[in-house]
Amino acid sequence: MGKYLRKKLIIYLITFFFAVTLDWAIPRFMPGDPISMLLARFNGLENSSDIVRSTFTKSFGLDQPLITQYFGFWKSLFTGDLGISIYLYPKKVSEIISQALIYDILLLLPAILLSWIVGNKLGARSGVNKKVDNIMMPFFYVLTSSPYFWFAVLLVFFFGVKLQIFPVNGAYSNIMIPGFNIQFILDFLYHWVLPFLSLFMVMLGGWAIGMRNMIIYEMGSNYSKYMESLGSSEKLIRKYAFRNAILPQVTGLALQLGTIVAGAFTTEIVFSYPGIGYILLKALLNQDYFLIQGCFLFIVICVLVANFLVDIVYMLIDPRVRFSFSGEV
Amino acid sequence: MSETIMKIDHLQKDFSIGLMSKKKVHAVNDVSFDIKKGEIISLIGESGSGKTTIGKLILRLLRPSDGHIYYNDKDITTDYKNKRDYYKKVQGIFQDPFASFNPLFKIDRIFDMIFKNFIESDKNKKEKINDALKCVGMNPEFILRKYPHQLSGGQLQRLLIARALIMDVDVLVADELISMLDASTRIDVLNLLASICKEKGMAVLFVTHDLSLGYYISDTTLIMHRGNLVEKGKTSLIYNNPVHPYTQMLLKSIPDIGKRWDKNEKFLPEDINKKIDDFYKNSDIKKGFIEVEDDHKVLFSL
Amino acid sequence: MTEKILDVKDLKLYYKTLKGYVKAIDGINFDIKRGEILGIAGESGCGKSTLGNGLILLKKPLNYISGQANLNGKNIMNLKNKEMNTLRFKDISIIPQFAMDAFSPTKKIKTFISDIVSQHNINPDEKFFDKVRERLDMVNLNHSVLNNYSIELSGGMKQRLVMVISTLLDPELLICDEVTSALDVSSQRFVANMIGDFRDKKIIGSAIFITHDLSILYQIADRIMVMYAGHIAEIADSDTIVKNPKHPYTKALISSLPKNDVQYKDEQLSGIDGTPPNLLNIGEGCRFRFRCKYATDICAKQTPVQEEISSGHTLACWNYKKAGSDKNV
Ligand SMILES: Nc1ncnc2c1ncn2[C@@H]1O[C@H](COP(=O)(O)OP(=O)(O)OP(=O)(O)O)[C@@H](O)[C@H]1O
Ligand SMILES: Nc1ncnc2c1ncn2[C@@H]1O[C@H](COP(=O)(O)OP(=O)(O)OP(=O)(O)O)[C@@H](O)[C@H]1O
Ligand code: SF4
Ligand SMILES: [Mg+2]
Ligand SMILES: [Mg+2]
Repeated sequence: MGKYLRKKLIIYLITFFFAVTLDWAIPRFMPGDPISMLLARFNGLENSSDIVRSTFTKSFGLDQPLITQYFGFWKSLFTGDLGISIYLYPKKVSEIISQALIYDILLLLPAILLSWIVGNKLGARSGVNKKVDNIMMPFFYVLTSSPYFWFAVLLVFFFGVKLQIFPVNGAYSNIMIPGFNIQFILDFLYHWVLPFLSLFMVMLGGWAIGMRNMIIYEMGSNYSKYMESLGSSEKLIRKYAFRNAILPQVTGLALQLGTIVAGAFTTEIVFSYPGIGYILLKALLNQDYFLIQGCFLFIVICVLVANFLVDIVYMLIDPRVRFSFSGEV
Repeated sequence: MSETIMKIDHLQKDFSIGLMSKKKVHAVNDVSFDIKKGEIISLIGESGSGKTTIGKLILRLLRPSDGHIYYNDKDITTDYKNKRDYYKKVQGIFQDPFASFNPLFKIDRIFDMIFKNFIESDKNKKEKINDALKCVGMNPEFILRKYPHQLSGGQLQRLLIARALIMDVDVLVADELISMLDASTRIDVLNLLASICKEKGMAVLFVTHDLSLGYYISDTTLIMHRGNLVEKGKTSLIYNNPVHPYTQMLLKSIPDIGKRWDKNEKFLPEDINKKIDDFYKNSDIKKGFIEVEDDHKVLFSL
Repeated sequence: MTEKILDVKDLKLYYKTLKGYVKAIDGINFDIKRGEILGIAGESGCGKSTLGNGLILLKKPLNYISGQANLNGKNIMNLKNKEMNTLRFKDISIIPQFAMDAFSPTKKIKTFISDIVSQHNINPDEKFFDKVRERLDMVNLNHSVLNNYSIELSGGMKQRLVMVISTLLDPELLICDEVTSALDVSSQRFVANMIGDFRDKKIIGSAIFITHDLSILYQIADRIMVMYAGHIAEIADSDTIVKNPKHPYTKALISSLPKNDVQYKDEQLSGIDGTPPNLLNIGEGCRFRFRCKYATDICAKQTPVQEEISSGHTLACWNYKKAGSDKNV
């Protein structure tokens, strides 16, 4: 088991290394000059532009040789210093990200987990009951085949514009000041419903279909037949099938994380929801290199950590992974 | 005696198992034997004794951990090139014939590929294919227009033999070739194989766990037990005068039609292993792999 | 007392497919007496597993068409699944053809045993597991297998374990489908002997032993039933089948078996030319007629009826008298 984990860990570390390197390189080799961008903001100050330019260049370390910049980047990475945003100057990138992160967690985590749980339950239901299956499958297919942004736009159109039940912009009303009080929380939830639903529903379809197919496969497997021949009730066989069918769904969760994150971005953009996705869009539009860098880095870390966790969970629940790991000498 | 075309020399293959990877399986342990032109050798042993592994080593699907395989005096274990030339002359038929065919291609396309990949000239292509198919008892008109899934396991296995025939191979590794077939058809396939060996000088390594079939068809018999070659020699000598306890036990457990088993003998796998260990321990005089009579060798100790 | 435990009368079991019926069991008659081991032989696809499975677990696409299968005097073909469930495991049990994957990979063997016996209102307490351990001893399995997952066991161990589990409730009739086919000769002998042992110790009442390997059947079966393409060719005690077969198919089958004193270079055995017919929508007539050298006109027109030619020796062939007297097969 140790070897398996070690191997996985090394793979993740290598991926991380390349991702960080790429992340460092992209803004530096991209056309355009962040300092000039920044200077454009200080247009009023004639003459002083040269002074300002050198100050900024120094503070961003852009006058150093590339290799020093590279190592400096790693160093600042571990100290959590991701630089200063240009578009929201002088806010720190790490500060902006940690603020956005709260919204992401509150939106994404419930959407992913709930859709996974509910989707699996509904899918399992569908897999063992022909009638339920015939009614539900078309829904699941429509849900899973619609792109996140498209579904989000639909929700905005119906509930926001036509029926005007829910707000469609931001995480809370403009007049509210974020704080931990009941008024704000209610307002927050009110804004949260639509983005959550759009993510939840689309993901739900995919999980349900996956689970349904797995359950049907497991129910037709030889061990199910054996149990049936020995007079086991359908309920027990279903329980066994579910236990085995859930395994690929866990892997699915790991594999899907990337697309879920991407889906979350488009959803956030449609709803102007101030999560990382929305911030990233703003950063891109404003050519805010440091913020772009920070966002990407953060996303890479999240996806890697989540995948690693899923790997561990998978190993714990599936004895096959634990024992069948064999190799050639 | 006819010439040796392949020499297996102290072959060894280890696999590591388990996540910890400290434990090793000696799938094949210090195995040596020769393959002569036109000879049928049966390789017999319990499940997991390393038979398929030897086949794969000969077919260069695995690399040995130690030891050598010489084909026409050339060491193929150190020669990493010329795989294609090698496969023109050494081919395998596997346990699962369905896996050996591309399901999307009709049979005629599959035979075309053989010509493209392994045979330089297209001369007499059609004739050669038809002859080979007739030789394995199949109607070319009928068979060539089929997809693999439209044929039975036995038919597919015969096609594999036809393929070896067209390529005019020197050595054919047939792993559990007849396990898919019924008693009534398998004798036909065996007869076919044996007659081809006689006529064309093709050598066959016949991997099986069916001792009666091994006896029927082979000139030489190799008995494997847990990765070791425990007894080898002329088939009639081994069957009539088995020396190693494992061979003796195998021969005793052949279900012989017309003669009933002795109910008192339990044949627990654990007992058999103990008996073999005792045999190794108690053979003080003889050590290692030793000749007991002409063309008959036995493993007396590990 | 030779009481019949199973009495099958003109049973027809067909697979329903898009193109029509596959007549895998087409009007067969046989019985099994208490304490008897009946061997069923025949080439691949002749319907052996269909019969075995059909008796204990009739599942789509296999359909019951007509006839009777009386287990202890009760026709089990008409039973509802619920009623049948009470008979399964206790009265009739099976060791399936694919014993190698009869276990769910994610459950420990002990959990699996507890779960399935609980279905029959048996409390899986320590006392019950003492009995399980006793049985494990009989087949020489270590008690620790109970705490293993199936993937940790070798093929041979799984085979023995299924043997123990299927017979835990001392069934009156045990169906063994190709239990020896995947094993090497020594394990074959062990497993086959064990079935006989279980019968002698009255752990099981009677057994149906299915295999295409006649030489094993000769070792352990009291009577042998030879099937060909969904019909019964011949039933007789094992010595008669092997030494004095009357049906042309049985004769050909026996003579194609390798003998322990024949080598290719001395004498060549012959197989049976041709292949079995496709059972889809097959019509009247003897199904062996395309490969039979005694075939006459009537063979193509009418299906031969099963006829008892002497006590305990049944066969279905129009020309058995001519064939039977022909020594030179
Ligand atoms: N890729 C592999 N990794 C680890 N172990 C392996 C691998 N391939 C084979 N083995 C092990 O090597 C041993 C020999 O296997 P092999 O397949 O050669 O047996 P065999 O004699 O062909 O058995 P069978 O009659 O069941 O086909 C077995 O213990 C098997 O578990
Ligand atoms: N699900 C199915 N649908 C349609 N036909 C089937 C189905 N299962 C089996 N058959 C057909 O029924 C016939 C009998 O099959 P069965 O599995 O009973 O054979 P068998 O005698 O057990 O063969 P084997 O020795 O290969 O196990 C075969 O011709 C097979 O093609
Ligand atoms: S009924 Fe006719 S075809 Fe069938 S076995 Fe008898 S003689 Fe042969
Ligand atoms: Mg093998
Ligand atoms: Mg079968």
